[in-house]
Amino acid sequence: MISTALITLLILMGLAIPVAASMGVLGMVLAELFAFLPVSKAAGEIAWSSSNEFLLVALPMFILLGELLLRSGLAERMYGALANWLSWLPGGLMHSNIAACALFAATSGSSVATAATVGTVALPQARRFGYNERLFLGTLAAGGTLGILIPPSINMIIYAVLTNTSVPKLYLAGIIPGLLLALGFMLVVAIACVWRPAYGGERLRASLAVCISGLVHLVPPLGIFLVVVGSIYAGLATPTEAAALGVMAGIGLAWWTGALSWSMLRTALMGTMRSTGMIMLIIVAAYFLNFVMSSIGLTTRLTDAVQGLGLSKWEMFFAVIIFYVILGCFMETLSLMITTIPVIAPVMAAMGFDMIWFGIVIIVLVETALITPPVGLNLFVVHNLRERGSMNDVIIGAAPFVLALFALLGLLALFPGLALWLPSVLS
Amino acid sequence: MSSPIDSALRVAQRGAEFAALAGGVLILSAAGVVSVDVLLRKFVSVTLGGADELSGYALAIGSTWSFAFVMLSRSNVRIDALYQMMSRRWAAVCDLIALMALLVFASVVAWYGFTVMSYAWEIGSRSNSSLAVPLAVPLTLWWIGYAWFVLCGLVLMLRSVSAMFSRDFDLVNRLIGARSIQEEAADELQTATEILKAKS
Repeated sequence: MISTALITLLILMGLAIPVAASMGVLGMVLAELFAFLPVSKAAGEIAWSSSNEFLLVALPMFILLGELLLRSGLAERMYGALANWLSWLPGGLMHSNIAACALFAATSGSSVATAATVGTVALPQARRFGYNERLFLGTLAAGGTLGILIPPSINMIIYAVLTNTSVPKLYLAGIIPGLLLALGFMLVVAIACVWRPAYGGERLRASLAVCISGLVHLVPPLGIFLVVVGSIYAGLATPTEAAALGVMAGIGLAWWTGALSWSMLRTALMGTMRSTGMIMLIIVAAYFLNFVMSSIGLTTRLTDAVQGLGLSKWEMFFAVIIFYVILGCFMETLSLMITTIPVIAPVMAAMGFDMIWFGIVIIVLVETALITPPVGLNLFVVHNLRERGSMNDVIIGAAPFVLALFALLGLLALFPGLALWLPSVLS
Repeated sequence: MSSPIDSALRVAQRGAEFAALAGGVLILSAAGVVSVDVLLRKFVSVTLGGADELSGYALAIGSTWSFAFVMLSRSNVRIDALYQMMSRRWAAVCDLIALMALLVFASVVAWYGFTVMSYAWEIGSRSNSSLAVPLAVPLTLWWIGYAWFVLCGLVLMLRSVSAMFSRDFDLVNRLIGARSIQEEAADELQTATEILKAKS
């Protein structure tokens, strides 16, 4: 049964059948072959109940908020202000790239949006001030991945829905690892630039007065962060309600900067629905497939098979990391999460791993997947930004930052408290 | 050249865009209603009640209304590792199979979704909440999205099959080919640069 399912899935995906359709058709095939009852009949009921879930409402709201922020010009001013503060470090503006990504990540739930927004603002500076272009590109691709680790995070919401864990706890758990990772990225830059000073370009010096007056531009992103994340812990709103408040704040900000217009809103809404429809179809298909898999006993068999391998807890941890690093090279990350987590998370829970902690591990692995070739969406985003040169430059530039991601995984394994301390203190 | 299929496809495209926009407006309104609910609860200790339920319906309806748009703008995620290595002709064959698989799944959901919807009409079921929404209403709006999705898929299928018969593989690719990840990223950036240009 397991091999039939696996082979069918590989054939479907190998033929480049859309992920949603692959999962749906696989569910129908399995139901036809192995079910005693006509389980496919449940498709209608499942499609309805999976798509009106209140927690999932946060998804289109975050996508819409991202579209609004992108158009409100918040990123340019924020970047300039951070550059004044950070560019005296060895590696200059590359540190502002990472800091701007980290700060933008606190308003955005998506890594691709973070890389694209900060990258568009930052890249022209690389040539102007003579930076090593590879490393500069790497900071943007890698820094962008912070988007999903620092709350809010679309991927955490999806993980929460798939594993029945708490979004507020996941958000809190992501904060310390997110900040650590940003520092880790900066450390990579500093080491590279101390080792090869030519990598860092001309350093900018700004007077203290300029530095301080620039701080005003950090207010809007922090304000959005307070609305979409702070309101949850102030006991004001649930994650979905916070996302809705965020959309209102985003509209307010766009109006304030003069970016709001009907045509802008229309484009933002169309973009939102393109991503929402794409994700929701995968989610509906995944729920259907999971339903079929558990009613024919496939889920239990898979879990038993994995446990039958007799791996110890930490051997299992390494196996999972290798599994995700390899798959992450070839798969788009949302589909990767939705297809694998329903099977893997129960196994990890049974082995005694904390599900919040495991969520953060998964997010860090997804970040790795975003910057590992051949399929790493952030690499492509950054590559497209510069209209010349080879894709390999970005891949090579991002490679040292993968080490920082692995180091973070190691730290999370050694000190689970990095993720679990904040949620335990604050809830 | 403007055959009936071409005009049908244009109608489908325009309709799908309109439906997706309407879905977006639903989501935006849901954000508004939920925000008002939160603020009233906090500052006036009044609750509208049911904002969460209504926004759930908005998501269900909005997403089915955008499915056709997602399909027509070739935005469904496909794993293209092998696909990229194929010749135009074999890629086109895969594209047709992919569209067929999508249609089969959508039709099955629409088929059994119809049962769910008509049952709600029959017994007049209401939601188990203070609003007691007659479920037939959101279910019908939701189901229309699937029906429209299947209908657009059939039109797209007809056009692609006819392109296939005239061996116009480029057209097949433009209609239903997988967007390469480069195209995907280029789009993301085009938006970003347009915005920057609009500002300067």
